[in-house]
Amino acid sequence: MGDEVRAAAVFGWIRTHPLMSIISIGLLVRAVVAVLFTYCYDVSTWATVIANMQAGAGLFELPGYYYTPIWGYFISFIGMVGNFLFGIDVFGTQIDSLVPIQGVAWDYYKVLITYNSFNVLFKVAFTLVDLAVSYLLYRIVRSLTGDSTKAAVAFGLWFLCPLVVYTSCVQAMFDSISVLFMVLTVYMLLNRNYLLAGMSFSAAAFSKFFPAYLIFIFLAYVIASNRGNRRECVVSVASSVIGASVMLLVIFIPDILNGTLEESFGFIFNRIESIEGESDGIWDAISSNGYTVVLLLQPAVFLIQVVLAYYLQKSDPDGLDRRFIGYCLLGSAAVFLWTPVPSYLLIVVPFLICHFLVSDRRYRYSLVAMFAIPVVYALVLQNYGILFQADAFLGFVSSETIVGGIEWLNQVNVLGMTNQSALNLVFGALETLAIYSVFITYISIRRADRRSGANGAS
Amino acid sequence: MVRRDAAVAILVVMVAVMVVGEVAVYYVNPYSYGSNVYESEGGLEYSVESSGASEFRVIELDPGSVGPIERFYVYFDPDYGTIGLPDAEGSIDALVLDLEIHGVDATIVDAAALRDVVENVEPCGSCIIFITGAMPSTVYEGVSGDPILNWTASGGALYWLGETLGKYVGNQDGSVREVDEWWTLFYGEGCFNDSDDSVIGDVRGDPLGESICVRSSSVQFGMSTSVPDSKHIGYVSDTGYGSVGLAKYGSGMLCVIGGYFDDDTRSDLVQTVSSNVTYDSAVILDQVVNVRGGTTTGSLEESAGAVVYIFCGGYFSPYGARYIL
Repeated sequence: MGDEVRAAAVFGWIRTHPLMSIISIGLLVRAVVAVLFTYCYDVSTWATVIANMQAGAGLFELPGYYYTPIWGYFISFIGMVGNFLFGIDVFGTQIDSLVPIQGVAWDYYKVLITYNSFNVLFKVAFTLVDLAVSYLLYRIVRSLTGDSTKAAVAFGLWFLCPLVVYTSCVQAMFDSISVLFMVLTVYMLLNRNYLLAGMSFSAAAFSKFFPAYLIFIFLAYVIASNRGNRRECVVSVASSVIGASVMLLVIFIPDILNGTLEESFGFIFNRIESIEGESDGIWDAISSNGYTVVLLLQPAVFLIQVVLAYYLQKSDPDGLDRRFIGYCLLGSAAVFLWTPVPSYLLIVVPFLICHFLVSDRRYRYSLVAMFAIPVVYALVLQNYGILFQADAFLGFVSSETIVGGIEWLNQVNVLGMTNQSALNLVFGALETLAIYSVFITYISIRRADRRSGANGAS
Repeated sequence: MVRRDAAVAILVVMVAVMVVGEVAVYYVNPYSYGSNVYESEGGLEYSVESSGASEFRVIELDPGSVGPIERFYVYFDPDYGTIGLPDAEGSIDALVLDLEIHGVDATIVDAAALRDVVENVEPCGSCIIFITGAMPSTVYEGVSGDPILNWTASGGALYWLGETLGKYVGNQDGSVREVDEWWTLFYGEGCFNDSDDSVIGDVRGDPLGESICVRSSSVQFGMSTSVPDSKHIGYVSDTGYGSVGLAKYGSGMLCVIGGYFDDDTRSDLVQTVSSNVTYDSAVILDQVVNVRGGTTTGSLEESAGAVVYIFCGGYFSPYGARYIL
């Protein structure tokens, strides 16, 4: 009897808890999207990486893996689950009817595509990661505002964010893992758990490098939150450094021992090398110049981080936690003074959500822009590439439609560039505008506040 | 401020997953594969085994006039000129490892050792693999009677991946020299696709290519379908070039993989070499076998000189083995 009552209470809680409806909607959306659409370019690479591991060639002995090792370790785990638990033995096949598109200038398509069972494995893993990030945002917003409704909104904004859903369940890209570690870092810092904050930071920075830029702001927060207590400040920083170092060793020991440390940073070096490469067409030239611009902007990016950190560590202890989130928003947006691949922007979104809910509703236009535009840009970049699987295994799109569409994108227009390049430029510019909207909003808020302050004084 | 347990639990789970994956990559590989071909009371049999779930493909081929290949040489000399292969050393390492994974123990030979091979190693049953875009001047000067051409015509197999076969000579000073009318040494003008036009083949050639999971569609530098006694197991373009072409050359064979060295073309080269497919090979048996942790057996046809190639994973293949009957 007692058990029945308890079970009824649990089910009642599940039915009525606002997070449950958000989770249900999010899972339903993901289930539909994950089955119907897959951009096979990246996930096909994960299949190659697993095959290399199965062959005993590790992460770097055979070509195929170009990131730092963390994601490789996760691929390894997911691959084992797929093979030993679900019996996935063949990852994909070549779709001959799509082979003609291999000759196009925009060559971010792979006709060696992975099966749905393989893709879903990764998409489920990313969905779990998305849930974890949502939960952490829920806890952070609740702790900063004391408002469960706002916290639930934070949960929903992340879990239902189109860019999050797209990155995890269409592109099957691992940016959300880096975001999870980054949000864990923030959470641990807010809880004064510096050892775990350091560990999380290392994992975040070496999943994808972008969270590494925030080190100045994180350090400033540690100093500011221990102001007046030098000993405590030193211990806190030391704990963070120890945590970060331990995680660094865990991640890189095999590479250090095997002498493959250089390969594990191929993600950076390959892009730098491509700057010097010959340009084969206008988009190659744009990309190559784009990488040069990224490099040239780095001093400005670092300068902004340092300036933000300086002002954060100087700021009043009252409201420090809220201000910390705001500075993280500005810092993370400043990483992308250039036009990034849409999935990179996931590191900005958690701070935007938190800052919007915790401190300033005037960021609503930025929030809408960051939710909508990057995912449209992703659709422009990946276009018909997300339909290959639908053509091959589900049959609701024909190869002719895909090939015809891609051929149209490949046509050179009156501007002397392909339609694909023209679309990339337009939507890339819009994405940049979406990122810059964070700064535009910040500046306009500062001006408005100054004006209202002046009016109040008068 | 907030409860720590859930967040710490998330971190612990993430790190645990990461470490388990790391251990599997570097310290305890949970995957193992094996195969065997043996005589039993019921005749010739094969067995395949896997620690997990695997789909094996068992292909028994009559290698035709070229016969089974038993000696494998990969040319690379850092001092001699190469063309179209930016990371020559890394590419060679990847190729040799991939061949090893698929049952082929290849020996890397430099320009001088290559000269020894073509002078002293029996061509029949031997092959030389080039991915350097140029053949070294120790064996090729671009004239009729060059040692490498004689060796191949005497029964050797020459596998080529990279810039047009025969067009470039690699010099000892690291430079590369272009050969005039190189095609006269092979099958005549247009025998290999020397133009940048139509670099994609979009129609599958011989079905054997699909069986061994040939995947690259690039016909740049590829062999013409009009070359006599040729077989095209990759994709064929409307301009008449194939992505993987094999052709009779004297008593030997030339195999040309179209395109530059990359993951796809490397895989095609490895599968073509390992399976011992030739311009006149014939399929004796082609079976797909699924294993779910353990060993499975099957029957083969007895055929002297046939080659059995067993691999798993299809287009993403982590294992291969070859047996000469």
